[in-house]
Amino acid sequence: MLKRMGGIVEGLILIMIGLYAGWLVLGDDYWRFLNPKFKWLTALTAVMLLVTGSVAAWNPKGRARPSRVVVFLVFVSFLGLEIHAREPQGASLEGFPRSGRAVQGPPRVTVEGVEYVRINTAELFVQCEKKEPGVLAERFVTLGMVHRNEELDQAGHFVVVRVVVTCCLADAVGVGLRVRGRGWESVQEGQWVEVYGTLEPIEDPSPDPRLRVEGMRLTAVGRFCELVPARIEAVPEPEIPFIFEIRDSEPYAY
Amino acid sequence: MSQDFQIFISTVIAIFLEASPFLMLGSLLSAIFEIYVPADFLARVLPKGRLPGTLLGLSAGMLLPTCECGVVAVVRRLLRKGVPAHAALTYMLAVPVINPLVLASTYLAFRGDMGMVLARVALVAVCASAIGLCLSRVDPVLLLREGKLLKGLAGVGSRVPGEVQGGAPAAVFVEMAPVSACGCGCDSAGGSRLTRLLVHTASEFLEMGKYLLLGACAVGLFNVLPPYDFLSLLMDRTHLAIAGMMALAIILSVCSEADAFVAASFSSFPPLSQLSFVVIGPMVDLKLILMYGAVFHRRVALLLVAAPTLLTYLLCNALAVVMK
Repeated sequence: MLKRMGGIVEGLILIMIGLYAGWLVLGDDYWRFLNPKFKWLTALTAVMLLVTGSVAAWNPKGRARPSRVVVFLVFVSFLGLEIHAREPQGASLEGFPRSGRAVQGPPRVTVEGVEYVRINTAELFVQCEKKEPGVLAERFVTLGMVHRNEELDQAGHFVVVRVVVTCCLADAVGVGLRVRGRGWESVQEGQWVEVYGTLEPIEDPSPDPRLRVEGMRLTAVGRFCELVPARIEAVPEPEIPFIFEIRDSEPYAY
Repeated sequence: MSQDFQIFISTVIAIFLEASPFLMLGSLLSAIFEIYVPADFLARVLPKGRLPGTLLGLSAGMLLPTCECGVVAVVRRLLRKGVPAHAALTYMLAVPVINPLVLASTYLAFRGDMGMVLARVALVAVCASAIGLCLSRVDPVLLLREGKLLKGLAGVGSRVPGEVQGGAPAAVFVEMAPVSACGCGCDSAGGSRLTRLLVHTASEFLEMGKYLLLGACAVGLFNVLPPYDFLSLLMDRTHLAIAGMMALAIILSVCSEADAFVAASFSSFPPLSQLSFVVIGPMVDLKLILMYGAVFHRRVALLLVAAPTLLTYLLCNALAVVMK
């Protein structure tokens, strides 16, 4: 009977994980863990977990292994804690994101008669790495969070950064660009801003400044270009702060 | 709940959810092999020579891409069915990289640098082939942790064919006794084949998923540790940068689809160190170390960790010397 119970528990564990995965796919929080382009894959897996879990729980010859039951029960408790800890609204890069406004809009925007290309910080980073002359002639607007430190303050810079998630949260990298020029003193650490400006090459590329986005292991700052702002606007936090897509040319994902 | 603990939990959940489709696929394939494929079928149809078998192992990922989390379960089943190491282990080490999805993501991450793509493929192919060929003379069943148990269970119905043409080892084709070593009851007398398939899939998923979760917990712990500032101290010297990036790849345990983007973000590091990151990561990381230890004989597991690490380091440094 005990052995049979073990088989049932294992089946139920799979069912619970399948239900959680399905709930994540159908809800609005999938992006907190994974790139939304994988929703269909998670949905399929959820179905398979439900099916295999059900069959396993009903299997009269099922035998559980204590070590894997313990590990998975701990994992299921993590799922419960995560659901419990999730805040209902708002987004920030410190700890769990909260929701805010969505990042949407046309590929270009005109402000005070000047046209700017909407581009995210990762796409801007990539364009800088390419060092193509055409990039320097363009005007861009990018959205990101402000990061400052002593070294940057002394140089009259701040960094505008956003987190890029390629597959899942575990591979998240903060990617940003230095911003140099007027208005840098007025921005606050952690504030979300839209920076309108042009790119200028950095004559003597230096190693990445010591900055770390809270909760992210790695941060990359463009070494070959910096953004010279024509204007900086404080904006509310976006609903989904992460970048999930990087495009090579217009229209950029922004 | 503290912020660090929240980040830890989020990381564990994210890694598991990301890997679970591939783990499920690997478990399903493993179950299909177990239930539907006769013990000696694969060994009969696969190329007999070591070189053709190795080439098959290297190229199979182009038809059947599988991430590193799912392939270990599949390869365990292949070895139990008598597929020689030069095909099975080569496939296991190569498929996370030599597949269309990862090749495309590498190309995109390094902004069209075909040299990086080809170098990644070449170095992984060399490492995978070397390890597969090194173990090709060993009975494939004995490569597994439960190898001796399986050989002991192979009483009725087992047979030992003669030397296979081309110098491949004489594999013992293990016809399983009614009670399988996995203990999930999948091959009990009752129940349809489909039921047995699903039960076995569930069991395999839980078994390999255990190690995936333990590895994810290790990665989650590193996620909340102090920042990796020490890396910047290494980047001026190529051989140190290569070692540092390799260690980072093993610790971060990023999946092979995403690791190129992570490596590319280290733009201030020497390109060969970025290459070493994307070569070693799909073959050795925290999750895989645990899986290897669970599936393979201890010495084989050690070889699967040490050999790719050493080969990657030596090959990247050799390239550094050649390119100077």
